[in-house]
Amino acid sequence: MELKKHYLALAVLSATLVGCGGDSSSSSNDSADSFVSCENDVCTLSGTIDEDYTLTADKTWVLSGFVKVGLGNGGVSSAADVQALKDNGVTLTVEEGTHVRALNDGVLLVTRGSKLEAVGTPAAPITFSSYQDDNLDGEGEWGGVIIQGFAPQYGVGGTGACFVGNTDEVCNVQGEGGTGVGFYGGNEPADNSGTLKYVRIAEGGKVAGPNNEINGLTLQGVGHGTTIDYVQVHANLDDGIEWFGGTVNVTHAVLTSNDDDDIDFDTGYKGNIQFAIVRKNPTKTAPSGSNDPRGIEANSSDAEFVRETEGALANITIVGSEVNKAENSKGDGLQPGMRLRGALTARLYNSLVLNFDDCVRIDDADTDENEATTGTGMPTGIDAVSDVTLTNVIGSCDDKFYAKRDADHENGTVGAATIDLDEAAALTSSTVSVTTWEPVDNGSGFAFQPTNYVGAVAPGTAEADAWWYGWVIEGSMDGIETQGE
Amino acid sequence: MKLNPILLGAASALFTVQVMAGQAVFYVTEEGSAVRDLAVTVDGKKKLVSSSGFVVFDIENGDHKVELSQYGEWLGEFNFETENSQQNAEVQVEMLGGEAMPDINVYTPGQEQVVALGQISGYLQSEETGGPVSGARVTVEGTELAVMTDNDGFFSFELPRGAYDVVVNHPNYGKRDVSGIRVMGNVNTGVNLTMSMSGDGMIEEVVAVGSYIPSTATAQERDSSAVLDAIGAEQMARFGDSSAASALTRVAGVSVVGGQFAVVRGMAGRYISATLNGSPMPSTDPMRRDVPLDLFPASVLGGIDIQKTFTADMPGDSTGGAIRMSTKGMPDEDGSKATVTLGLNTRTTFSDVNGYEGGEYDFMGFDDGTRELPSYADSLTNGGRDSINYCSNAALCLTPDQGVELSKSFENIYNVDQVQARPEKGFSLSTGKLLDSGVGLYGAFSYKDKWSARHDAQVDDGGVYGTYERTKRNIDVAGYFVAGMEDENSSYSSKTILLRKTDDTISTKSVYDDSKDQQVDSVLLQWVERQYLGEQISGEHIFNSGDTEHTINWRAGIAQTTRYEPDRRSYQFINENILTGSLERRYSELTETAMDLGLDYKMEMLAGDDLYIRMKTGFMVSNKDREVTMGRFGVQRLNSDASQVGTLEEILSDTAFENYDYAINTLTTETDNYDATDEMLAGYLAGEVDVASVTMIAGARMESSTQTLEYPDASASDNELTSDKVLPMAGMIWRANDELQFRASFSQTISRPGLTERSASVQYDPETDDPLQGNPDLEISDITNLDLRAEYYFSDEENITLALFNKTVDSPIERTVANADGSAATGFTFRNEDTADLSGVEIDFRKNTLDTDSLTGFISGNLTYIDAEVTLSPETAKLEGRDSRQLQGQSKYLANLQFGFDHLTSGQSLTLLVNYFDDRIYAANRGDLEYEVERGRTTLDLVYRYDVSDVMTVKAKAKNITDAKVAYARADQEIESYYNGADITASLEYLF
Repeated sequence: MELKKHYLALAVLSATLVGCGGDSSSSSNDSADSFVSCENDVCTLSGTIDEDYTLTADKTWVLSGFVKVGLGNGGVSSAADVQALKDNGVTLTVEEGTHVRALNDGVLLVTRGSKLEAVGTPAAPITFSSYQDDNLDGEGEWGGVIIQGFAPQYGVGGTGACFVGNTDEVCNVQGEGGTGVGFYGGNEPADNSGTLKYVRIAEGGKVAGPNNEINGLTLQGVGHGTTIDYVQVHANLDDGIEWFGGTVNVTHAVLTSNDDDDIDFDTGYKGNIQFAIVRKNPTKTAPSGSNDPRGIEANSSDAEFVRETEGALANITIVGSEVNKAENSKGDGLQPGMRLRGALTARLYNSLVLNFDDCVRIDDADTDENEATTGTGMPTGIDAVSDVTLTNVIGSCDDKFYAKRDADHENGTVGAATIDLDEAAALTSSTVSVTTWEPVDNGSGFAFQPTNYVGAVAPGTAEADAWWYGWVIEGSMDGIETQGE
Repeated sequence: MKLNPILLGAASALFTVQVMAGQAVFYVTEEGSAVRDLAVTVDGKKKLVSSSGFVVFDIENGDHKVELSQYGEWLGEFNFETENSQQNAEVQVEMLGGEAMPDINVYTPGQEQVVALGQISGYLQSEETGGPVSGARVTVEGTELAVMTDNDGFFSFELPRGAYDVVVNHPNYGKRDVSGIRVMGNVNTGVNLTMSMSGDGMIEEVVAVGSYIPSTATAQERDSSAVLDAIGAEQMARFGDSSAASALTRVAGVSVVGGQFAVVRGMAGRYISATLNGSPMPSTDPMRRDVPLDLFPASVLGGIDIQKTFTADMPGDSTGGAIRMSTKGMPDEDGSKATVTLGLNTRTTFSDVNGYEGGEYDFMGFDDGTRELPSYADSLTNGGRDSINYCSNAALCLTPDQGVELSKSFENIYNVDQVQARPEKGFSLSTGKLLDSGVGLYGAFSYKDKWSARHDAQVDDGGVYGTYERTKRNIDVAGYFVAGMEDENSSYSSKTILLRKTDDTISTKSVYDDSKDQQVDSVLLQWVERQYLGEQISGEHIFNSGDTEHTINWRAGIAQTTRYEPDRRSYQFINENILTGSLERRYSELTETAMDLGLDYKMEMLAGDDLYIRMKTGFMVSNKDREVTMGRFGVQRLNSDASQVGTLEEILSDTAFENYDYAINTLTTETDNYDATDEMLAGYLAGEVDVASVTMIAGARMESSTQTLEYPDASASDNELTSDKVLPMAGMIWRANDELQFRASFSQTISRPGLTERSASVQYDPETDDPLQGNPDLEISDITNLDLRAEYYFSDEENITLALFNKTVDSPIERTVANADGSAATGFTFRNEDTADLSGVEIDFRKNTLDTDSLTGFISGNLTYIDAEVTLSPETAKLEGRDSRQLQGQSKYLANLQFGFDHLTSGQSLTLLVNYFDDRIYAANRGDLEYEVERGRTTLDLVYRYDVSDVMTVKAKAKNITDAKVAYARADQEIESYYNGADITASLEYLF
């Protein structure tokens, strides 16, 4: 018994020493690093990257298993623990033009307190894809990129902020994505997890364990100190980008051929999204597995409602395909372009939905899943309502503009309209005005770039001048001008 | 009965040798009953009347002055005279209206012209049934006198005056020694015993003198220092209980969850300790710290008792209770028994239920290798622990050919078909043999094959509604062998137990999910072989010195428990398309080796005139070593054009693998494999003092334990918990009079977290696949227990007991919702809550309703009310949306009623049993969602027994007669329900 105790102490000690490695040796890319092994120009990353490290464009980097950046996904119980995670945080830098390829079991997890600095250029974007084959179109060939931070998360079921209930306002929220995901969250809206710029994440979404899939880019409690601008998620088996709480704003997102939802924000996300193109797979006729693809899927329904979730989105272009119209055995399954639900607050500006069955579906929450209880002045069974404002939101859908109920507030031009996109994914013509831009006040001071048109790209922009042109995955935007028209 | 004069002479000679000096024997009666709380003073020397009603003095010749007093109050005095030091005196004192009326008989042993004869007669009553124990062999030590108790449980001997030891033996009730019974000239000494299967000699018998003995009913409970309930084999037989689990539902304050796990006084597994023949019992369920009671069939079990108050000799986690199971001991006579059973379920048998292609030896409970992990997959993936990757880099990935071979190595068996459920059948054989020199052998073997199914099963939970079918086939095999040896002072036994329990579960579920607009069809094929193999040797040594009796018990046990679950298959179809990510083939094996050593020493002495002292001390060492290995395999869809429709066997054909449409991969998580140890060293000291009508008990237990958890694939999640605890206990019993006694006790106990509950990582519940987030900060809960009990015995067999109890749990561990997001939020975690407070009342009674020469009847029952409220920790309160609630698994009301009729002349008996439990929480919920409760229900069983002849017995039972709906609900909305059907079985027993 005694002997075993000593062994354990030794193990804990050595784990601590490994954990502190980042402090003492900041020399990057030391060949003795235990988390990397190279053969010729192929370097395999595995385990925990516990020191500052750079992935260079001259090598092929292979993710094997759950590759963690830092040790921040362990539990914390005090402010001192949080500080220790920050002090031990490391930065993984990815050079422009670098291609990171993942084995089937590969996942990149950036833990809280650590950073991912992946800054590409339009000419040399950074790519994450699978090692299984050379194309970028497979679905579920590897996991995805998960970033975790110290920003607040709000529990499902209206259970409030994760940091409430303990003196040091620390959080330990277990994230989805499998056994290795661990904990995230905190009370620091301004937390910084690094930069993603001109980054493409393709063909991920592989099942990570029982009842788990991984989004292309999963943002768990990521703060607004983080920069995410010019990212593409392509051909992911699960969602494109999913926010679990956090405050990080995202601009210039291209979400193409993802099999589930594209923009999915939940559990108290408070943030702003401007300029996003959502394009469902033009060739697929039915989603895989349990996917129910929508362009925007915000918050969860009924008992899983989170009142605090608040998103402001502007200049979103959502183009559907047959994949979101597939019927199930009951004749249902026709997905709306966006589903805003579970007692959230959402404002959409200058956006369009094309080629879905219905364009906009808004749901309120039966929070106790009991028809017998009804909130004051609410429809039967409903206990908490969503608050949705649409400003200059137009749609061209097979059935209705509103699938269920109307938005709470409408400004400008709202409703069904004829939609004609060009090769730049811009409307051939559009002029609108917004009287008041009201971004989500998440502490970032974010202001929408004022636009006087509907859609992600200004009408009249030449394809080669569009903000997405050149750096997105080749072919991923081809033919968008005719899709669904 | 006729006495053999030669034997009488022998007995007389024995007596003469024993008694050297003059003695005076007193016994005092009032209205024919022994008076016990009385002091007798002879020539200034004062002694208390012993529990047997006698008190003995050494006397010189001359005049002797006798005084009688009770609680310091003078009752009377008288004188007698002896002429020399050889003369003895027998003094019978009858208290009449508070006045002592002595009857004095002075004689010289060995010089009597006619040896004065007296009588020992008595009555054996079953603690379990309250009825007579017939067929017990009663012998008088040092003579060859032996009689069997008659149908009414009576026996009698005529003997020369003297002191005798009487031994009672019964095949089911075991052996009882009653020492120091006095026989006086022309007086009948009544020896009325309550026999219990479960006491195992640790409980003192009640011996009283006189024709009317008021204190026999439930003597085991009454005389135990702790609050105790017992169930013996005879009671299990009477109630038709086929396993420990069902037997326990008959005890006050006890309910059984899911037919497997006991809840005692509202406290579930983590607050209950379980032992088998005194050794800690290993568990076969990797996620639970309690013991599945249905592992032990009644054919092997001798008895169970539940001690509801902690005493220092019990494990420190006996908060709600200690469940002590004992297996059958050595036989008392030669003989064999064969039993055959046939049964059917009103809904299941001969109806169409789920089936699939299994192995050749399924009926024996062994997989023939069909479900074994293919050796190619095993070696290629290290049992599923290594990832499988596909790419062109051979250093990192499998080649396509390897992938195809791996995928094809798995048996392509997934489909569920419909088969006809067969009737239940079983048999058992047992044989016992007594050899010379006190050696006895007993062996038993039993087999059972039973099909059960849930019928009309429905779910309607938060917009997910539909039906499911679940079929289960249980194959139980048990082998048991005992060898025992007894001599005058010692007994030794070796017990070898092999228990196998195999469950084959086939579940199909078809639901519609409104929120996703999806039709979801799920399938589960699960084969689990559980095995317990144990060997235990034990011994007991009793020796006397003067007024002190010393007892030493020791035991050494080694046991291995395994749970083998090969090829658990689960998958889902969504809108008739295979959900690739849902497919899992899992291979897991749990092996737990347990060793333990224990030594107990007990001393009982008369320490002076007023004082009776009992002391117990002992220690135990135990070590459990568990290893769990698991490999999960899934399937990856390589080609987005691959077919997703049809049966799974069609979709995952060899061709599909060869075409690279699909490939098998691994899904094992890094915390699936683990090693755990649980080491404990415990010692205790307890004392008991009888002063007049009051017994005081005090003791303390020291427990030092270490739990370790090691993950070979994720060492950062390793965990260790050590503790050193001292647990005090104190109690008092006050016998107000012969009919009424009161008890009070105070104790401290603990509850340790389960082995995997402190894991730093997520594990997946093996049954539901819900993520279980361990909590490395879990602490041991400390519990303070208070018990009060009043017992009123209003006749031989009739009594009523009222108990009040309160338990305060500091930092109780509850399974509650996790602070989690996305799909992780479906899981649970374990948290130390603030406090839990349990207060309860138990009423237990037995009353005879009929008593004629040929027919007897009784009604007995118990009712328990428990208010168990847990005050939640701030985090749990936030997540569950409430500050407090009922403790999990806790019903507010529990009730049992039994109606029994015996027709003595024809050997028939009929028992009707009613069991009720109130709503109980089975899962906590988040936010505005109410917790989920299992709805309370009433079950009704009927058991009939007919002793056709001395060698043949027919039994029939009908269980769950009303076939009450099993239902789960949330906020009064039913979310799941099904019917089990009624079970009707008949069995034939033949003795030879």
